[in-house]
Amino acid sequence: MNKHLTDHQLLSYLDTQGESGKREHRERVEAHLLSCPACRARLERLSRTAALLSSTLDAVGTRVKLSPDRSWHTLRSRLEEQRARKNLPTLHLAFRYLVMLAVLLVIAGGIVGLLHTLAVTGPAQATATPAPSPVVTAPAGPAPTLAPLPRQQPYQMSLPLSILILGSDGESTDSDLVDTLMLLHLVQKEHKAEYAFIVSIPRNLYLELPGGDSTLAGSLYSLGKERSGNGLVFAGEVLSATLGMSVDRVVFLRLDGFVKLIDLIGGVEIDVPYPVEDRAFPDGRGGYDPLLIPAGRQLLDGVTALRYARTTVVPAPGFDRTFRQQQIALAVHERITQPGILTSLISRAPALWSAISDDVATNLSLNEAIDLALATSSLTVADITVISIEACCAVPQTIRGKGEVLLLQEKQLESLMRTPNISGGER
Amino acid sequence: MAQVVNGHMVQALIERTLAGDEDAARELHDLHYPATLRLAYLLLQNQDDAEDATQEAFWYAFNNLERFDPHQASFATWLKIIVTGRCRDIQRRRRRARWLSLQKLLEAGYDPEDEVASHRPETALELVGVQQMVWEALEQVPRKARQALILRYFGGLSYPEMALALGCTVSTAKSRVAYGHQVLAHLLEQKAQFELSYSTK
Repeated sequence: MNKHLTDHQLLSYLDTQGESGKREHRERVEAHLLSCPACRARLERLSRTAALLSSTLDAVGTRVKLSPDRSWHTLRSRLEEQRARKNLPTLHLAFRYLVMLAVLLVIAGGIVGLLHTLAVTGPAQATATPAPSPVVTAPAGPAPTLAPLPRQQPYQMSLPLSILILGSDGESTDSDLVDTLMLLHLVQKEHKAEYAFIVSIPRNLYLELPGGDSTLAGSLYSLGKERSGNGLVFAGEVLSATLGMSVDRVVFLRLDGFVKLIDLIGGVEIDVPYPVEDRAFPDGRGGYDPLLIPAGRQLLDGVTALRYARTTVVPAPGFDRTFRQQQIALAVHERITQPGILTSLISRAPALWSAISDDVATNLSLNEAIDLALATSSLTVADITVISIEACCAVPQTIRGKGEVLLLQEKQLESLMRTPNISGGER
Repeated sequence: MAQVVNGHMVQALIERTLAGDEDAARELHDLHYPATLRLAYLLLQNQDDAEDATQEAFWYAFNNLERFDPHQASFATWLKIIVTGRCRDIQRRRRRARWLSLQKLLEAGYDPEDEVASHRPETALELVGVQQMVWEALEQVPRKARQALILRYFGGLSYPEMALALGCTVSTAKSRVAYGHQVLAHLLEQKAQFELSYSTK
């Protein structure tokens, strides 16, 4: 017993003081301590340091500012949002898709209506001045400059066609960051889109760029704009290369456009089953802008409709975000397809176009947009298959400087794309 | 300041939370929030970062509540292990950001010798006497050893739990505590001597 005790031994002796276990070990240590003043001094020093440290750490700990309420509220809203997303992801995506399609439809729809009018009255006249139509009862006063030349055969779009849709939440109006990325793939049957599938691309999908750089999917558009002035082409090229799918056209859209659209069609009517009250609705500047909507049938303007869809409160079981988003999508659809609304939209097509054009960028030509609108008008939600990359073919990983990102599992995506109802075979 | 938390009560709260009871979830959060935030603060020495780490720890815990095994550790300990991981992530990011900004400064002709005590953590703690001295000394203990000391003497984690939290082996955790002790004791003696000589002059 002439070998000195190690720090480890002394520390574990300190730790087990007061415990009944490991008696043998303790007895051996104690025997040595009795005969060795050097080790006694070291033990003394260790226990003094430990005591000082404990009391200091406790003292610092009690001086830490606690804000449990804020912590809880942040946590709760995150959990709720996640729950809403988990429960019905397909419907949520379908909503986004419908909204975007609705905007496309309206942009195109107005012009399609004109075309139709012109076709009825005859192309010869149409090239000169659009005459008042016998079909359209509302005064049609569109600017002739906007009307494309009438075409003999409108259904010229070649399908299958892949359109990349980039949606920006529009938290700030100048932001080019994209929250929603979808690749809409239309498959043809006799001039009509028979069915479509949507590949939903998570915004934090990690992408390698030519030249060794990397970025996240959400920043593609703004990065492309910065580099070459053309975010549309850049986003299309990078995603096409990464996913191994063709991207024929790209549409960029701010949700602001959606708000304007709803205002242009005079708002949407919604049956609100329970009063919606969200006192903590963010105002986008770090504060709150309470949202209060009473129960009953309500006419909501664009901003309120968007907030109605976005709030995370759940006033009654099942009456959640997803449900409300679906309500709005249906209401928009209902509204646009009302004959009266459509004619009034047609008459206001130029104003409509200029109101929305700030929030839309696309390399679809006007004629293609029209064809697209016509080709997809027969699609219902049931014809649309949604593939979520996040759910099927990506793994989360933390990357330095980028936080948690998703890495694409190419093999899984490839095998998924080979399944018959996606690759265009038997359905 | 230590809160008496009954294991059975916590288990009941967890089960109610899993069943969708929001009041129980809130209680579970409130019960464990102070200790978790305090540990994060000690590890990071920055209020905002500590709050972020705590938020992320609760987010993870509540999302993985069904995986929690009361036979392995208490819920409080589990949270401490999780929050330590988040703190390490934040430190890693911080080091990288600091390194990058240092690179830029050096390119701009900055000489690190000019400014020795930059990047000092927040010190508005109003500690007195010995505690102030110990806290200052602790800041000078190498990071990994300091983390181990904090987990041991504030978090009350066992060595196997520390190994989980720090992503190292049990014996490494032990060595870090022992090493931290040595450095800290040495620093404290230096400081004491310095103050002694200073006051006698």
